[in-house]
Amino acid sequence: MFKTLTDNALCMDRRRFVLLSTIGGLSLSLPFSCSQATMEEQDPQLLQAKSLAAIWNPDEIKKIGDLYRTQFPGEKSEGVLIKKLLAQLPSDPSDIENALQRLTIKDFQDQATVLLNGWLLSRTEARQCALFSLTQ
Amino acid sequence: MHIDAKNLEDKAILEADICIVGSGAAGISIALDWDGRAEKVILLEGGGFEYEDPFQNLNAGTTSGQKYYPLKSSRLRYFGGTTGHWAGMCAPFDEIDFMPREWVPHSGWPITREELDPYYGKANKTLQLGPNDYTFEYWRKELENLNPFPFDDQILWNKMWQYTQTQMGPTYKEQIENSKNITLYTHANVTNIQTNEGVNTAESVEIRSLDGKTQTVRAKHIILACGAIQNARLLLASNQQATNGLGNDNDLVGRYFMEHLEISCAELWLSKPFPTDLYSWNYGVTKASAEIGLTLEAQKEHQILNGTASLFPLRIAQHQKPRMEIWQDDDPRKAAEAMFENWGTAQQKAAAENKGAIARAFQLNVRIEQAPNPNSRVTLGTEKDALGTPRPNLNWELTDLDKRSLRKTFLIIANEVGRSGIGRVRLEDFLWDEQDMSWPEGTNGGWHHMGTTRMHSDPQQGVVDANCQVHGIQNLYVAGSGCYATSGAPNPTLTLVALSLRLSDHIKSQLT
Repeated sequence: MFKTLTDNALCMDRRRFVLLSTIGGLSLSLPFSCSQATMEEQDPQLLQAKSLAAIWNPDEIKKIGDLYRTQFPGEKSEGVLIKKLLAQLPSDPSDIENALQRLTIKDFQDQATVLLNGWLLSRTEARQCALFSLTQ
Repeated sequence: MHIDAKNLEDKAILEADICIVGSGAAGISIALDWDGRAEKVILLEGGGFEYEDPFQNLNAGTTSGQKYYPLKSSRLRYFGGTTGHWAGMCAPFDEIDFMPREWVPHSGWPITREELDPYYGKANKTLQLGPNDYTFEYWRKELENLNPFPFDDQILWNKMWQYTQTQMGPTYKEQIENSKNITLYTHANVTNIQTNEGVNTAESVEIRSLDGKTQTVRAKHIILACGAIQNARLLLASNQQATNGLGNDNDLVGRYFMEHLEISCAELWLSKPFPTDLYSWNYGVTKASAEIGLTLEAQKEHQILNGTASLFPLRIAQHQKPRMEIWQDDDPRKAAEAMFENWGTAQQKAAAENKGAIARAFQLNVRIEQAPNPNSRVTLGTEKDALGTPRPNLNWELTDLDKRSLRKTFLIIANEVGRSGIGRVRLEDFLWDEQDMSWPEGTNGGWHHMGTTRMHSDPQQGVVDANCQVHGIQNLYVAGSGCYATSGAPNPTLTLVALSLRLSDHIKSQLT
């Protein structure tokens, strides 16, 4: 499954690929020749949503993601989720991880949060979980 | 001096300048304040120096409404009162607790926090606490490793507690026994308060014993200090001259019973270890620690009650049962034993779980005031105790404001935890739905009894005035947390001792 994901990723927008790999403890091995920006310099472990990955295992992240898509049926597809996330992210894929962290903090500042199974999460990280749940 | 009332002659008459009914934190504090003076003080205690079931049984009653602890085991009837098994947690009330708040019906005291401040200092000494400084800044300098979570201090703040292991009975027994002007009578249960014909002056109290003897104590000033439930019970039962009971012309005695809600409300999961002892409490070791409180501004903005959240290791908490479930034995010793046994079992089960994410996860427990509710009340039941006094019934009733405040408090804390980046918070399921006003089985109180003889300048809104004098009865007073108009965020004992010492000063000012 990981090989297929990697192969498909080569054909995807770089930012979209990074986005898909930033949650859930996925460890990806990228072909060196396929990297364009600075992907080969990134440690995949750094691309995780740090706060949630420190608390949850991938099963729990998926569960929350499923819940988000149920609670927000208008955001249940990968395309919609990616579109919503990328709309707020920079064009440089190497900065996506930091941008996601900043967005998450801003969500809490703006109280753009959701309550899922009792967890108060930022909207951004909830969407990340939802995206992750679609990849599993 | 000490006299066992069992040895008094039947129909004996005792006389004093001051008669204090009850020797718990309030009663002993007041008595000590008169030690060495010219006035003669009689201190009446219903039990002895140790637990005795026949006297403890006089505390029994019934409960209705929200599930509560058995009344018999909620309080102790022996010298020292309920400080005989308290946790020793002390913090002053906040300024907001005394203020009228338009979003909290019946809020507002007739005194300010500032007026009570000098007495907090004295209360600190009586309870053998540290210096009268409850600021985080002070304790951060005094103790190591009190690192605060990086919250917005316009929203959350660190409310400090100090801890004492003082039990008033053993601590002050010798002083009271050796006092030249205080006479302590044990096994002296007051069953009636007598007034003059106009019911505007208290003349005496009647003591009754289990073997049928009675005595009378006449005093110039009579202070009821037997706890919020018993004080209300005594006033209601003293109905020979006032059919609804003394101080009860406006049907307020017993009403507005308030507790502190102490419930597990959420879980805090830290993303990484956070080095701090600020929020930890180790009984007998910790001098001071904090609970997370909402600022005055946050309470105003969100129109919620005043409360705090404490942290407890989740790996242990998940194995504990709620106190309201465990503390259901009538015998306080057995109830306490069951509680400690459960805690011990939880510790053992948690021993192997101190790794992984749960090692840095905490149960968040609330300690929050209860909104004053006239339907939450103590009344007299139909059954009588061994002395012929009607037993009390406590109808504990909560309001939507209580529930809404809980939910909002923890959403605010959860948001700050997320914003500060230290972790995430999960609310307990009874707080998920903002329309749900029900209460979980584990809705604990803190065994804090407040409000049944509430304080207000207007006799139509309170039982006692700003000086804790019963409206309309010039020399009858109530000491203790029954006088609270609102219940505040923290444990009541430090404040009730302060208020009692203020009352003591007031009575001194009345002497001519």
